[in-house]
Amino acid sequence: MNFDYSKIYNSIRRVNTITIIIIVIAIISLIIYYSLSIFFIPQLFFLSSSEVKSQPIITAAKLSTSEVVVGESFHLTITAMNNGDTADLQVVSLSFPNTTSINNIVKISKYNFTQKPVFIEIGDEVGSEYVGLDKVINAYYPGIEANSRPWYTGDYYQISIEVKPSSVGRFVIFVKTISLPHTSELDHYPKLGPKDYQGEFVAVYSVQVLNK
Amino acid sequence: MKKRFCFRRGRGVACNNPKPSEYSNNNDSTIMKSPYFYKLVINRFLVGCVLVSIGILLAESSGGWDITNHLLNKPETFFSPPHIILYSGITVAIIGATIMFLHWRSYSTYVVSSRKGERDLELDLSIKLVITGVSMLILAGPLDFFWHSAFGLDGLLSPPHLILTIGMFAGSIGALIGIPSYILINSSSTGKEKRQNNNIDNFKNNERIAISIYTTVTIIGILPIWMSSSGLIYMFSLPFSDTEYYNFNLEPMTAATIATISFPFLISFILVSLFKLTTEIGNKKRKFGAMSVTGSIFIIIAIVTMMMPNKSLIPTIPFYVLNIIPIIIADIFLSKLPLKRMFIYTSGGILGSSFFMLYYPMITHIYNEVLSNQPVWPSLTAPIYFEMITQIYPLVVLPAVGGGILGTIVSNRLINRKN
Repeated sequence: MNFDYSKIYNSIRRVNTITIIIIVIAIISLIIYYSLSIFFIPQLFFLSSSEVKSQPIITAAKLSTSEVVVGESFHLTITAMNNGDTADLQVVSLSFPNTTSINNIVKISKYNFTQKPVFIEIGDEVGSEYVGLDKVINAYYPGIEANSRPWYTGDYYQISIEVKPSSVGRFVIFVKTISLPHTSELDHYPKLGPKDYQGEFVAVYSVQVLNK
Repeated sequence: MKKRFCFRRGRGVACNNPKPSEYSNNNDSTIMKSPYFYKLVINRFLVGCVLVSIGILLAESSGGWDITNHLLNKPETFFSPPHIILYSGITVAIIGATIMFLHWRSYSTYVVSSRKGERDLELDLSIKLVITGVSMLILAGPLDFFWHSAFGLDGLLSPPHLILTIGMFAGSIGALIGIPSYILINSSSTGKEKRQNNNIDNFKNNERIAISIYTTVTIIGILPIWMSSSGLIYMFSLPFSDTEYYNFNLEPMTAATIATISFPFLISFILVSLFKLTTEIGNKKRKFGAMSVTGSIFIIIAIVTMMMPNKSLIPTIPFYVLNIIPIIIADIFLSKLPLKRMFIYTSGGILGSSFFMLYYPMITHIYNEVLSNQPVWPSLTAPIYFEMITQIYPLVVLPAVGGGILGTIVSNRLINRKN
């Protein structure tokens, strides 16, 4: 096969020098753009960035009394803070393992979370094992979840509840705080102790309810 | 006899079906036939078009901010800053539409009285689209309230949001059609002045200023179309429409396919159309700059509304700014290289291929559903995106280039048919 080199040469000659320069600069710029965007910047990002590490903690849990007569109320105030990096979401959870409903028993006296607290009833879908709604189970007992999003480093949030137990015995409250995304053991508090039905560590508070 | 309201310098005058003879014997005819009045009317019509475009641009930008706000903060009140700006934008659009309507009526009356019924049909189309669009914006408000009352929190794709976005789309197209119509009308009267004007240098200087103004208003006109079309595509591709009562999320592969084809097509179509429009405005002289400026504004809006509110995305802003490179290259190809199909289609392909980077960070949510379906927390958006880009981009680049070339072809055909 014989190529007509003169034709190819003449067609190249006809192309303006400026056009060739522009095309070359464009090709170089695009190579730089695509290589930076798809290869180098992602690599650099992973090398330079560190994982977000929030550290939720409960700084105070104040019970107004350790004993109460049935029909009378007591208060529990929980204060939590984030001691680490800003969390996308941090939740303070209170649950009531020895009641079936908290409708006429528990009410929220005050809170300063950025989101309105949510009441959990038996059967509601909740997250578990610190993975949020990736692993959903049904609630075994009622609870209250209060969260702020985002929860900045050093911020304090507080919730107070008024409880009026309706039966004699030990009234138990489970308290925990978790930050999401949950990437390490630092993202929940407490870090050891008993676990609730969600497979998450809880701090236990209780009040003895006495007969009149 | 049918009465029509004629706008005359602040005083309303009821005039019956106007006939030239009726105007010849009173002062109204002097004003109505006056070139000054005619210029005032069409200039104010342009102001109306620009206000509609700016209002819709403001509303669409704050819509993007609202999505980010919902991801970050989940606001529980209607009166969040994005909502306030959204409704301010809608108010500006309504004011613009009112101005357009009033001056369109005056213009139509002037044309009927002095030009023997030669009306500009594109101007009529412009006002119809704007009125339709703005009506949909107004309707969407109470409809959204009703939807919230009945069904609680709605997702991104819901009937009220769809009406709102389609209204913005229609209104912005109407405003854009009005702009070149104004330019055409203005150019024909300017042509007469040129023939009468002895000072050519002065005239040429004025013409250059006029072309710059026309280019600027065309950029303002096309940006809200780009934003509202992007909003429509987001509605069908982002997985933010699963609520308590309804799940309007599309199947992940379908959503990803829509994004892969539509976004590249859109970028290419919008920017190439803008280039062609500004070339027509500039007396068929191809000039570099309009595409680059428009792309820059789009990038700035995305940075301000979608990246700066999320502190974990701020370090990735330099990555995002790089997206101006393909836009500038395409602008150079179209303005400086010979107008051959190869170069035009290459520009479209370059623009289309940048979609995956240009629509960061929201595009993370779309392809995450297909790839890993892990929760995309605000602080994890960048790591998930950068992990995904090396896996997804090689798969989508060819369809993206195809979509970009298609956008160029459609734009060419549309503009040529219009000419």
